[in-house]
Amino acid sequence: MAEEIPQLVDLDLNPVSNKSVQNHEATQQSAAQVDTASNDVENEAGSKKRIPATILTGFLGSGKTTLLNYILNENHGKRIAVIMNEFGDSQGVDKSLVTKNDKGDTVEEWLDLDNGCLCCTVKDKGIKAIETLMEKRGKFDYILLETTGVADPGRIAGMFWTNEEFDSDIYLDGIVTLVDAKNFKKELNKPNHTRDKDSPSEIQNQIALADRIIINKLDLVSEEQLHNVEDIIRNMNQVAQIKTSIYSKIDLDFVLSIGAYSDPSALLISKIQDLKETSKKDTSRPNSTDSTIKTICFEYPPSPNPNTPNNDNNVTNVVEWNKIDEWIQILLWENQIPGTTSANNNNNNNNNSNDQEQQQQQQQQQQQESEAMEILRIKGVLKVKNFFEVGSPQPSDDSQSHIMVQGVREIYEATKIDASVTPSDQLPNKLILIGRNMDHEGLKNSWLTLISSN
Amino acid sequence: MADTVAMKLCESNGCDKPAALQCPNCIKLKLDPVYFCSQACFSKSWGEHKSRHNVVDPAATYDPFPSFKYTGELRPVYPLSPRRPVPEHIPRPDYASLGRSISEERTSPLHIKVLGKKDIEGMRKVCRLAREVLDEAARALKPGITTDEIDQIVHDACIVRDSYPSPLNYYNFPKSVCTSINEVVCHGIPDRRPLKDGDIINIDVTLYHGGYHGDLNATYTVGENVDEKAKELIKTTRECMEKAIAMVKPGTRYRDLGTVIEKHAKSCGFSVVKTYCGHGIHNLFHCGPTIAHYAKNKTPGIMKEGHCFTIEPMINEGEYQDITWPDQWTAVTKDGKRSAQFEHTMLVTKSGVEILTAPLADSPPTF
Repeated sequence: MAEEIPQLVDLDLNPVSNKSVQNHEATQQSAAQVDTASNDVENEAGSKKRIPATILTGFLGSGKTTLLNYILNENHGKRIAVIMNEFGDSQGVDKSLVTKNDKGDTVEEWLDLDNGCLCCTVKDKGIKAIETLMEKRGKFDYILLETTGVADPGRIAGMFWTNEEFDSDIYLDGIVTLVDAKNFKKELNKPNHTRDKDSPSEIQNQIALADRIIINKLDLVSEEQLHNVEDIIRNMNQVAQIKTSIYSKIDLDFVLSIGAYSDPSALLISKIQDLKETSKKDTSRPNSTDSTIKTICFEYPPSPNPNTPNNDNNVTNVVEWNKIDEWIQILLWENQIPGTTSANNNNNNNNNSNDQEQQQQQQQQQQQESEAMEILRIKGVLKVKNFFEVGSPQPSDDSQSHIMVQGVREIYEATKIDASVTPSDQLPNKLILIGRNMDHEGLKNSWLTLISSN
Repeated sequence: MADTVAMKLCESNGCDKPAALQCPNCIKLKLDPVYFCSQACFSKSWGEHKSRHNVVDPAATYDPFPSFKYTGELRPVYPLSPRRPVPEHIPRPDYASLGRSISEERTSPLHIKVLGKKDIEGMRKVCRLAREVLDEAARALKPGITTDEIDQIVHDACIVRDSYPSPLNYYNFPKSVCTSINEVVCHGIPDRRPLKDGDIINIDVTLYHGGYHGDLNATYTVGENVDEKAKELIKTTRECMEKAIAMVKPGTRYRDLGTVIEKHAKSCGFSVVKTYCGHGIHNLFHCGPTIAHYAKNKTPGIMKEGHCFTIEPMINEGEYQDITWPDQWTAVTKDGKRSAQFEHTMLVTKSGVEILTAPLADSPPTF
């Protein structure tokens, strides 16, 4: 097809098009002004303080809904955003850490309440949704994140905790688990092979990872039954604070200002202080490997003889942080007892790309994993030599400091304890592990080997 | 004003008379003005001149998010071209039809696969092909070409190699490649915007071939007028990646890579993006390990022989923060300043690292 060459134009003689250009510029300018205005608003808001987020877990019937209703309707004077999320049920939680993230419509429905609280459902693959929500809906004093039964609170906690590296306005305050006093034992003893919503392993996880545990429906059990439930829970998680309640009525401060992951606080340290070294006799089960959740506590240096002053011992036994750091990594990342070789890690030569074989292998692997040691929580206060934070060079001046170690599943952090918070001579030297399939003897030996090395 | 008018010379080849007349099509398309002294000169230059109009009629293109507060000058230029078909005979990952990857969602992000011999061969193959495709796209870069045209080139180059373009329909990503211009940190969607002289652009290519994904990207300059600061940014970003790769060997902690990257970026006055990470890659496009590029991260894991993953730092000229456009993909710097990125897929070997997407002898330079 032949082309038609257009007639050239002289812009000076063509005021119409000139004007249209001017108009275009004017629109852009006013848009720019709007931009600046809203930027100012953002800057003002930028100086606000960070919002604590509490994760609320508990299996069906434990009274979560009753607790939420209480929070949303009572006149407690706190502005709380209750977020019911569905993001816990997929690996997608960690997708926010991998390169692609798919957001889509995040908020399902809103409910603004008379007492200044907000309730909504968020369906999303990351915390960004909640951050966006907070930006849009104004400021709240607290966020309470209600998780569905399948949700592994450890994954969500890890996600929040990692997110703090992004200078987020939201920080992880702690994990609260609700327990139904009447049905707890029954739920716990359900056969484990069902992969339904409230599988016993999830319930165990919820207990193991909790910073605060509320034993609910107190009115439905006898005192003896309650003690029994308390004992079971205590045996699994010796670090969490436990309270009882009727109809989920509880002092909100027990749920909302936990500070479990904040910098070493006197409260946290004193809780660790109170824990006794776990001796082999403490565990009621005869076999050394135990499939249920339990807490193990190591002292450092190990159980000092009360007849001899141990101050001098303390000095000679201070271990390099580097060594402890590596010990923790093998424990949390490789699920191995440091210093032992594991038979579990033999997947080096899978030369097959056959789908069926791969599936079989995956199943085998899953089976192995279900029997493998799993550390869900690590906490500790330790005196170490040559401490350094990730990314900082390792000092070599033999400087000693007290540090606090905090870990949820494979994610952990160590921070120096400010001597002004607690004087160093009052600090404990303890490491606490909460997990399943832990070989107490093996772990103890490994720990002793570590702390006796110099 | 009069002076500047007098300075304008006729665009026509060999004619240097003062010129005041403009092409009406150029005005309509809001192109940078060029001038002609006469209709005769204009007719003579028409054959060459008309290629300037090879942009889609702006009346037909639009900003899909007119009320969005963009952080920089870049705008999406819609409509996107229709989804490009992939021939039936090319094997595709599960998300090609589903829009989400069930196989990825079922795999624990903590599990790091140790690749066997056959996996390694598969990865070498697909990574080599991915490198060829990136090079082909890079050679096509010039002012005026649209990112959609680059997408076409990448798409076709994948198909010629019996490969599925991995980004296509991955969590509904609409195109076959990510093209990230200037302030775009990553995941830019190819559209009808022509590249401008002075732009920087990252092309992020991933292929799926023989059951494996191979992933790499690089940042290039467009035209001759890219400023020195941008070149410095690109150079630093590549150095950041190289310094991190130099640490890869069995026993290295994944979390320590970020320390080196951030240290180098900071020393050059730049910042490291935190939102997006490197990732494990083999049968799955994205899986464990997670590679954080910033310092002081809590990322778990220790490298072992047979681990395969990407390192892909995104380095910003200004602040490290990013926001996402309403298209749910395009990540841009919060301050609208430029961002660069480089990426390789690599394998941990007994003694160190094998860069599976390494440049070939004839790979085009980034500037």
